[in-house]
Amino acid sequence: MLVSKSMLRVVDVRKSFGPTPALRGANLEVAEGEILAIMGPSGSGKSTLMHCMAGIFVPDSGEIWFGGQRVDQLDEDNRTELRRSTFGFVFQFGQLVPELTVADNIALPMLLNKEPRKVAYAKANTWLDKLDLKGLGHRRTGELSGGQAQRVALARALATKPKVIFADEPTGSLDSLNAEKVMDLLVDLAREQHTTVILVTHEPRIAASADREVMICDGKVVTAQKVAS
Amino acid sequence: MLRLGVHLSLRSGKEALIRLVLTAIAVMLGVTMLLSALASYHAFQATNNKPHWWFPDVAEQGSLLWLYRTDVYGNQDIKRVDIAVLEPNAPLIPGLDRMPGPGEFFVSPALSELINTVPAEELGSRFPGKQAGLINDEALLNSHELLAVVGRSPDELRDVPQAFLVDNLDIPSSPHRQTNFFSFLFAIGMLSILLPILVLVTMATRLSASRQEERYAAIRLAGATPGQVNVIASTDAFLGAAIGTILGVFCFLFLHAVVTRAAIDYLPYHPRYITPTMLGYLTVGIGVPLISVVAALLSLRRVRISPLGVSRKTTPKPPNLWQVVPLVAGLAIFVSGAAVENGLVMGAGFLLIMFGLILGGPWITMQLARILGNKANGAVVLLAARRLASNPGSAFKPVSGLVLAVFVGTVFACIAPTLLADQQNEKVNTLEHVLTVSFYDQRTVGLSADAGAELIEQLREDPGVEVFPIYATPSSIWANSREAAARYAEEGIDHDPTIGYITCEDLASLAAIGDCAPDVQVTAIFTSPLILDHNISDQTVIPGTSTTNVELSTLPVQALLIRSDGASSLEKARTLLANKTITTDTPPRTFGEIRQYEQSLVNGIQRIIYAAIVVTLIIAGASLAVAIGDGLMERKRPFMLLRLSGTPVSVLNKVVLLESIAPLFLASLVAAVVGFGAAATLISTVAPDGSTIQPPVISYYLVMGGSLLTALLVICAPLPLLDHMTKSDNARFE
Repeated sequence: MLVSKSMLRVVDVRKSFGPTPALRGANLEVAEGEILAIMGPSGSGKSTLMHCMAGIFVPDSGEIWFGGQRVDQLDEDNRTELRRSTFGFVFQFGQLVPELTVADNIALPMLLNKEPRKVAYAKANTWLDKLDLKGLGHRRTGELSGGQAQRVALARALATKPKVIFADEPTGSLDSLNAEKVMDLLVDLAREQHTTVILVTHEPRIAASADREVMICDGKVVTAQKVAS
Repeated sequence: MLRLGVHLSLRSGKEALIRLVLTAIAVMLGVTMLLSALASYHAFQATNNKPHWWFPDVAEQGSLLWLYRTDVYGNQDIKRVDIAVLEPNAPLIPGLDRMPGPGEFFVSPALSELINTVPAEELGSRFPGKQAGLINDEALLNSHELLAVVGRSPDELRDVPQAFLVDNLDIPSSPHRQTNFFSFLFAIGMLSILLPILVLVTMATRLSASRQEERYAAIRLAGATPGQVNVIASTDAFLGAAIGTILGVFCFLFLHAVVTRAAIDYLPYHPRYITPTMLGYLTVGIGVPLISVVAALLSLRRVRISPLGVSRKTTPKPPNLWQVVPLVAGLAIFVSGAAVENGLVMGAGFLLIMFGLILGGPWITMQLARILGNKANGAVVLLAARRLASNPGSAFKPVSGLVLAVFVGTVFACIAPTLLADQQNEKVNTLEHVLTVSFYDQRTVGLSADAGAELIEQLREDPGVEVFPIYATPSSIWANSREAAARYAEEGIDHDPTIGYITCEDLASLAAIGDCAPDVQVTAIFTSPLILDHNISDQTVIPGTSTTNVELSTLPVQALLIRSDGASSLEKARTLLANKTITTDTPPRTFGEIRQYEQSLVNGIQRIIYAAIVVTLIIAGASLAVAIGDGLMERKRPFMLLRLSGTPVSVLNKVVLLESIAPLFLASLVAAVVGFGAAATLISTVAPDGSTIQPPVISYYLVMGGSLLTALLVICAPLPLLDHMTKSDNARFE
């Protein structure tokens, strides 16, 4: 994978929670269309770094650049808007709204973006086909297996064609077979849509799907290496 | 284990403390409402269950001569008892330390104050002799009651036909029909608020149940047995409820003065009756925490708490179509009852509709939510509608009580203006200041010709007074029918009690009653509807009865119509009537006062119903606020992740608001529409011809609007919690 140009840039970012420092001057660049895995032991600061990059956390100091704009300088409303319109998120579990059907859950971000109902559900149905969820559109998420639920979460994240997908331990609650299947789908679809993916994981096997992996330790990015294809 | 339970409830961090505080506040609100309702009910019952000593039984041999009548001053009734003591061992009237002798009278404090503030010829002169003292509370229904006990000599009362012998004043309470009606209304009001209060208390106990259950699973993992978890859960529920109950009692005592002023049955109650009684306090003090503990334990039965986590034993079943069968059946029975004009069938239909609304509410909620969810064009409506459709039972539970109150309130609010409109016809309006007094009762056809003439002359001495006499008519001539004439003859009654003569000149002056044929001096009119019921119809003047050869001055005076030019002349006329005549059956009231009296009856009923609406709507709001808090705890993670993914908090706020407001407004709307339909059917069936349903009175809209607004404000209370819970700064997953 060729790195075309830098899409996300983290410059000397520091973030503490009370007296506990989580990031101590992290630096990182992510290229457009790149699939990056952030790895590290528990408590190393990998999720905090991802949340800072996504505009969920505001760093105490340092800079976060997305395209030409400073994400860390945006106010809450603009960061919310950025997350909704430009980013997609996949979490480990619990992101689907239990009362909604599978189709509702996938259509939800489009409805939030004020897309007409018909268009939103037509797109949602397309994603159901793509992710091998055909016939499950009317089911509640509680009736799905873990793998199916994560595929729905993937569909929801990708449905708005985001520029960046932030995936925080997306396979953490799945068995190895389902984990592999979900990761394959994420990578294939991201490449198909030319979407940048920031993936947080502590499993080397999952990180192996990425173009590049970085290690974070004690709040600093310590190594960056290209994954052998 | 109890100590651990207390420790976990009080010292498990901010969330546990907030939960405890919210539970206590919700229970406090419920307990305050409950105690207020119990206190009002007790005041109502205690007041109406007081012995009606002024209606003693007639005795063959008695130690007292008794004459009871109702007088009127400025639209206030005065209970007046004239007594003559025949024997020294005569029973004593409650509230008096001795009976008044001839030339003495006792009055209630309110009447004493009134006598001292108005001219004697308007009130004080009605009571002969001197005031010997005050009547105390024991004899009074309330502190505003006007009551006089006038002492007479036996000779003064012996020949009065309406006086009778009495030997016992120990009268068991026997509420009259109107009191029974109010009791029935009060009972419905109590029921309609009791249900939502219980719902509120149990919901408050279940606040953030899912989070609690996770804690219990952790405690199980640490080695606690299921029994020990039950003890911890019970302790937690008990603590919140007990603190709330204690606060509720204090809150009630603080609001006691407000409840005391609540006029339910025309007049404020005596403050000492406004109490839930010791039994009420005990029931609430023990019952509420007990209900909370039972609710907590029952809720634990629905889940399986193991050391590995929590799993639901059962998911709530969706409501079934059969649940709307009672509502449909009730509507059908009500309409068919209306078609055949059968009140019993209509009443059965009415009760079934009320029951059906509560039972069918969840199914209706589910169907409407499904339709809304399938048509939703925005995320807010979709999220709210799907939530409502997923568990309509729990969505409807907080508003089930208000359905009853709104339904009954709407029916009454629609019927009341129609009832009053019927009494407010233009003819009656022209007689607003005309007083009626009837001298006919079962013992006499009226005042003798001489006494009548003397009274009329004395009344006419006041230039502000016009007197229009109605004379008794010989039954042989004017009986309503041949059968009636024959019956009167058989019973030895020589005058028709339902018909009277009036001069055509007086008739013309009164205008509203009717006209005579030209060139005649006297006509007959139906007096019963006019004097007793204060109704005027086109048939008041009896056609073909105009005559010129009746010598009115020889006939007994059956009734008088007295028109005054102001309150002073009116009261002077009443004073004269009180001193010169004895009328026991019909108090001397004007047409306007009768209307006000009926209006006050309607207002009394309205007040009970409105109180139930206000209380149930606010409790529903509080229950919904508790449900919101619980729902937020339950959905903390999906909501937080939605917000992290870019969903504005305003969208989440709208979702939560819509989930709560929709059932509140929908339930109110459905209950109001069904109530309006029931009222329209009722009016078209039982109201007089030509009556149509009137729009509800303005107070109805004010009460509904104000209560809904208050409920809305209460619902909004937990919303800051949503913002706090889902703030991105609080999101740490490491």
